Amino acid sequence: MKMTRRELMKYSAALAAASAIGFDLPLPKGVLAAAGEPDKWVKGVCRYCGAGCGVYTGVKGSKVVAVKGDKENWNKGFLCLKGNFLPAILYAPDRLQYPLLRRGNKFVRISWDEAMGVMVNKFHDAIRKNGPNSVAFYGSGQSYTEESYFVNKLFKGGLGTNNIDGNPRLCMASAAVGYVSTFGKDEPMGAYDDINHADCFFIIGSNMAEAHPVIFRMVNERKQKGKDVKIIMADPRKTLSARIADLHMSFTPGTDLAILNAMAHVIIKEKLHNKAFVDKHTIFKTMVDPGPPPKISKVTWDDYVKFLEDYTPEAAEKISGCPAAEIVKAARWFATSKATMSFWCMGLNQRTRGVWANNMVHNLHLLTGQICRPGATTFSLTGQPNACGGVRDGGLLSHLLPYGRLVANDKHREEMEKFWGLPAGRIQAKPGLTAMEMFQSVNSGATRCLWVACTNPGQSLPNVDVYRKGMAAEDSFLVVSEAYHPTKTSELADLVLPAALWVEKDGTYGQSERRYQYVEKAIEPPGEARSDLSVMIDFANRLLAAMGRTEEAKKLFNYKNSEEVWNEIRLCSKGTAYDFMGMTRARMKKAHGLQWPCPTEDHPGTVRRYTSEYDVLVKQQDPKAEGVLFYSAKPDDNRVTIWLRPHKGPAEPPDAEYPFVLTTGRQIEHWHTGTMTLKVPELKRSAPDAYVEINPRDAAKVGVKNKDKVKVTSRRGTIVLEAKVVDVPRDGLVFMPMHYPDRMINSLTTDAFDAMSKQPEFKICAVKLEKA
Amino acid sequence: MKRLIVLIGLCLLMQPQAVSAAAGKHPATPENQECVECHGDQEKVWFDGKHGLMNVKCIACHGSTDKDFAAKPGRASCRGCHGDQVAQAMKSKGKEGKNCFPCHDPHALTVQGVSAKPYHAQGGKQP
Repeated sequence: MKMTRRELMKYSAALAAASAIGFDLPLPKGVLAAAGEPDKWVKGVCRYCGAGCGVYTGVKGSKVVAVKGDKENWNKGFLCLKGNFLPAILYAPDRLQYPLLRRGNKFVRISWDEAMGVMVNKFHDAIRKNGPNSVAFYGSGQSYTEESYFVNKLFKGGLGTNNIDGNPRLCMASAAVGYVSTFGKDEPMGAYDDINHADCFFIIGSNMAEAHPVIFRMVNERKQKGKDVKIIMADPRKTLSARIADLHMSFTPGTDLAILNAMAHVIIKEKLHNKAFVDKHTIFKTMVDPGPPPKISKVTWDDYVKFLEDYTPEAAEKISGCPAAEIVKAARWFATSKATMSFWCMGLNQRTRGVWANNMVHNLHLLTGQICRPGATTFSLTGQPNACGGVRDGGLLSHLLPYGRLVANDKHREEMEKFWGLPAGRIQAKPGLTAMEMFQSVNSGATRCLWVACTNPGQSLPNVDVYRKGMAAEDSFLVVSEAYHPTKTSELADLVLPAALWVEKDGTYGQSERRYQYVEKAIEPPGEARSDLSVMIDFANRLLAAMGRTEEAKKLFNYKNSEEVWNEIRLCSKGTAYDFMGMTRARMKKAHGLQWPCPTEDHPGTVRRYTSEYDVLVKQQDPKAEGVLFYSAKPDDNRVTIWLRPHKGPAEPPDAEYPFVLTTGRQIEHWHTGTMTLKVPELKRSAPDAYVEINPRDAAKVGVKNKDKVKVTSRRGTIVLEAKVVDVPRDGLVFMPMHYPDRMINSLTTDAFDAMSKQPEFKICAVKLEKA
Repeated sequence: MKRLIVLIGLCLLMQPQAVSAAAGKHPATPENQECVECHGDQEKVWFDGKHGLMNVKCIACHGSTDKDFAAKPGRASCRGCHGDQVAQAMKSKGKEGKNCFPCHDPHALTVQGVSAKPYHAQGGKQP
């Protein structure tokens, strides 16, 4: 989409006005009119959630005019409502086309050369005066793997700071730490294919009908085609997902830990557990002292049984409000089905006890042996398209190094220093700042320069107003790489860099079931927008040159394209539990995704891990092994951990002054902070604004009717929005969607976070309601 | 006769929705007005069908209420999930080729009148 300078100026003025009132600009004329029969179809992946649906983009001339699902991929050709409108995100009127530099209260257009010069000077100056820990990077699971890997190498290896973290800390950290603490390594062992074999689904803290609709479609199809398939849905809201549930377990928000322990209690009391599996594959642990550092002690089966004695279904009912009979029924279905598959998402992860909740779901699978068989698996759903592949696997978190390695592990640092060709000791031994710590550090002034790429913390952080002040402060230098401007983050920036979006660049996405997929470039980016990878390579070489390390830069950061980075990434995974050496770029271009481990070019990829029937690494670890081998838990003799985790409530339960629980979540129309989907006219028409969802009984108590304005106040802020009176949330609970920049729901949410994963408790805070 | 024409004209003016819908445009609506508020019957049929269960909402076929509104959706709106079937229909010279709705009920989206399986299985040719 080319614009003349005059059109740009006219358009910028319109944007400024639009940003004050929302995103009501229509698409520029001619964009949709160009829609027609594509000249060619280009293979890729959907830009939105972590489901990772295979997509073909239809290109006509130089424009994307259509999409269709890839029927040879796992999604069998289906897309969700918003996936169908993907082309429009490329032609939104607020696509940023030129670098912008802040001058006072205005942004002025500058050249890329000037932009890189300003950025290098600021970062170099901060490092020279205050050391490498005075700069930081905040990324996301929306960047391609090649981008995340490169910038991780630049910060941890090139600059020697571990202050690199990202949005997955707000989204997936509890799931990642949950898998690591139970199984020894991150990521699900199963796959979407397990849906086709499961006879019982335990879905907790996930509204998959709206957040992961194509996975929901598969679950429904299994229910329709399978014989006596049971679906248990545990959620304080009776969401659209509950339409297919055989049992909907409603409970007071934050009390599900008691329910999970009570299910384990019933399973053992009724002798529905698989003692042979437990004896062969598990050990038991408890946390004696939370620390830091936490003190952990090994315990026995008898200790676990004794620990569960207090968690009778009746006791759990008192804590949670969930009827004891439902807990018993769920436990029986879970344990006695031929194959049980669990799904969860932010309802468990975005909690101050998110890791514990994850451990407790894993406990149920280990206790019953419902694992490592077709249909029997414990599966965490993911929010962003490359949170798994690029961030969790690639190690773009402040405590991680690529492919299962840890910053705090001497051997792992040494491995990466050798692999990257760094001097010994370059990678700091201490983990860097996690997301919330990073923005606290920006507030305090300790972080002088922050580079935010491909995400929107100015809207998505909890208790966001506190952190927006730091981002806007004059003594911090904020660089934002974005496809759109203004966003709630770019409006605070000192420098905004225009980014190529989705199929305007090429790269690799890795979704929830360990499937890596190549996204081919289909069209050119608008104006002067560039891929983040090309900007990162440019910046790295210029910064190291400014630091007098030109030769080192040539050795470390000399890449011509994403394929060269990808080939280094493959090598980095070799010999690890992730090994995907066999995923050559040529192969990825043809394949409809490949699942790791995939160690050789003739390997078909791995549907299920930790079982000799499917996972080639089992025999590599132990040639005599048959069946299940948790090689991920080598330090514990291949035994995974059943954790004794007590019930503990949320950080901010309701009280007399703030009597309602506020929870946040998604609508099917929109994705994350709405920078993309709110620009699609159809999606915006269908879901135009935020609202507070309240049930009729609570609405009557507050004295509000449907569509009345309601003032919602937490200890951190107030917003006014429309009431949606509907019998979905349980009594005492209200819900708000998270997507809307004009209704900053995160002005209300708490920034209390899980001590282990450092993931904030977006899902629960206390509020009061008044008719506005 | 002239009076009658004027009367009809006045009636039409008093029913802007009917006029606009007939012309393929959607009348202006408040932003917070949901489709179900005026189209409850259609919404119920849709909600009880497969596409309702999967939340393939009104906009998927009808677009927004702005200039991209389509009172009678074309086949392109189905292509996102049913690419092969649409491609087959496009090859047909019969009424099936124009859009999907001669065979599929517009809101339940179930098959009506003909058997879909033979039609699509035979590459878009009527059995």
